[in-house]
Amino acid sequence: MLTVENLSVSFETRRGRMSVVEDLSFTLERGRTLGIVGESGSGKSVTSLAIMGLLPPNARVTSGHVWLDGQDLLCASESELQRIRGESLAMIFQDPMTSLNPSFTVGFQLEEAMTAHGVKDDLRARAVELLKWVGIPDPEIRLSSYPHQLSGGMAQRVMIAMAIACSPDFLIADEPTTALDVTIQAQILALLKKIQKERGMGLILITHDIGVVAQMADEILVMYAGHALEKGPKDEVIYRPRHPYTRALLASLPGRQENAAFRSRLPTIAGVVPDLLKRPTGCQLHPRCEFADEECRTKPPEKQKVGEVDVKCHRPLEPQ
Amino acid sequence: MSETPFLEVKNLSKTYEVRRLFRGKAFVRALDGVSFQLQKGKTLAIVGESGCGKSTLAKCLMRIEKPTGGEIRLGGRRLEDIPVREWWRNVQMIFQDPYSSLNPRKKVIDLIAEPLVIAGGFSKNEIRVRAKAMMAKVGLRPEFEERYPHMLSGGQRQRVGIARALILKPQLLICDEPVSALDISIQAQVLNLLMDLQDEFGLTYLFISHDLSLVRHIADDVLVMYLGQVMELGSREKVLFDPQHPYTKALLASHPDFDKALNGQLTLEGELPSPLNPPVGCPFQSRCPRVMAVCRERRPPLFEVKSRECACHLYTPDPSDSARVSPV
Repeated sequence: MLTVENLSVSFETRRGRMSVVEDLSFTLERGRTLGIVGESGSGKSVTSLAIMGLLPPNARVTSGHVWLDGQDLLCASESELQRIRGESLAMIFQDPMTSLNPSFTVGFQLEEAMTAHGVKDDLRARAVELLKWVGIPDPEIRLSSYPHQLSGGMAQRVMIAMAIACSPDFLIADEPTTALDVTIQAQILALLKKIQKERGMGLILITHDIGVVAQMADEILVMYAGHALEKGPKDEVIYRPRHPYTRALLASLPGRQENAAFRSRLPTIAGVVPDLLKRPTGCQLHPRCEFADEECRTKPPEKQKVGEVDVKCHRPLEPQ
Repeated sequence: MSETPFLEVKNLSKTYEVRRLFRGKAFVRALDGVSFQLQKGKTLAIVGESGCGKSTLAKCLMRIEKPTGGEIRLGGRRLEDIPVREWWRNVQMIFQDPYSSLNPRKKVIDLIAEPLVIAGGFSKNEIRVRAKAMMAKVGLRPEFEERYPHMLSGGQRQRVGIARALILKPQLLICDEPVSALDISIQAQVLNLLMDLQDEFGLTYLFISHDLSLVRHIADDVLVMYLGQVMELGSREKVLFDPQHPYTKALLASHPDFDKALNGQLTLEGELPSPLNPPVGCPFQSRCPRVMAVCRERRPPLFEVKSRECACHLYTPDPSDSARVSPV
């Protein structure tokens, strides 16, 4: 089980300390998918880097724990983390082309990932097996390809092969299909789903595309300015959103039923995401929220449970 | 007789020559016989994956690239007969990435005024007045005048891009993925603005997008492209709600929607073939779930099927063509 408990992360910047993730908690079991949705600057990628122990030097975890089967990863030594990354936790990134080393072959990089975790025998055969597994045609030939010889979809498949080489229990996928075409996106999502099912992996899928999470996730966590505004079972969050932000975000999408009329004006959310160095007081959403009142402007909301859903809001909505 | 279409593209082709080390020249047919018409005040969406020729088409229409074949007519006049300055007064473009398409060293007001300065013939005062009026139109408050692009959010930058494109009062606006780089909460704002401006100025839009929900929302007509060729072309009702071409069907099936669970089923296998070495026959044959022998031999012509044009041998009318081909 992977548990993130009251995690807060801040960055030291020239303009001062910027708090990027605030008091974030969630739990993920093996075999389940958690979708994290949010706009840019919502803290979703920083959360995943914090879990992996890959935060940049100017970032600091100011509070909280990341528990992996009872061990706090934030207290683990670098050598322990190196073992955990790969064997227990793995991650794939948005742009597969910049994640692969351009000067080594696919085979070399795959084998390197395995040797780093103590695999010594049958490296080549295992690499072929992995490539076959992620749906790469002619895997023997592909082993000697360099990253620039691969298409974006193929490169992402190679990244997935490397990530699952040591059968991790949890995989974090940060915008894994954003750089890909839709038909390739559908292939990669289907592949992630297949791997998860067959290996019983827990998957954290980070994306800005609500359509993608809706298709993939069991649970959805909606982030805004570093806060988890809403977290709950997929259908609850998508069809019965309790947080005004979730509802407004969903309502603004052109694909929704309410917006079915051709060229109808879409409901919008006024304003922009706050500057994290000049956070608003009270609820982070209040300058953009149509329901905001005095309490929202002055007092940060506590997390509360409404049905099966956790909501950080003074005025959670009744499901429509 | 129908009226002259505002924009008419006939059999447009663009071939790039690629020099390869030790292997001689190769040719990429980025556009291969593309034809369509666009009526004034309407929106045509161009849909397709990377490498399908969307951007080349936009470049040809902006006269950044010279087509190698076919013709483009604007208001009935041939492109070659219209001086490029006059063309740009009528045809403008907004780009996907508002971060890289604005000069970081210019202030907002100057960025918006720039096309007027280049076009010439306006007094300094007139330029300023017009630029200010345009800022108001796209929803930029006056205090933004003196700011630089890095001080703006993505949505505000895209508004600057739109204001720049519209200040010469063009009739045709090419929108290349205008909202896909923006945060979701901002996309609806910019889309609404584009629709409002279209109504107010009677603009004609050529809208390039991969987001089918968005296309369904704003496009009157849809053109589906694959490897530089037209696969399906018709009204949004026909193409998006009753698609006939297997590629259009696959695109729609791959599109992530809420109300559709991904059941681990692949909608389309394989990837785009190399444009340097496209297959003989139908470009889509290597991925088509309904590929037939004839698809590997002959390129399907565009043919009217159920009130839209579709290039697929499933609908090719002459059965003798298929009969000639031996089964694989």
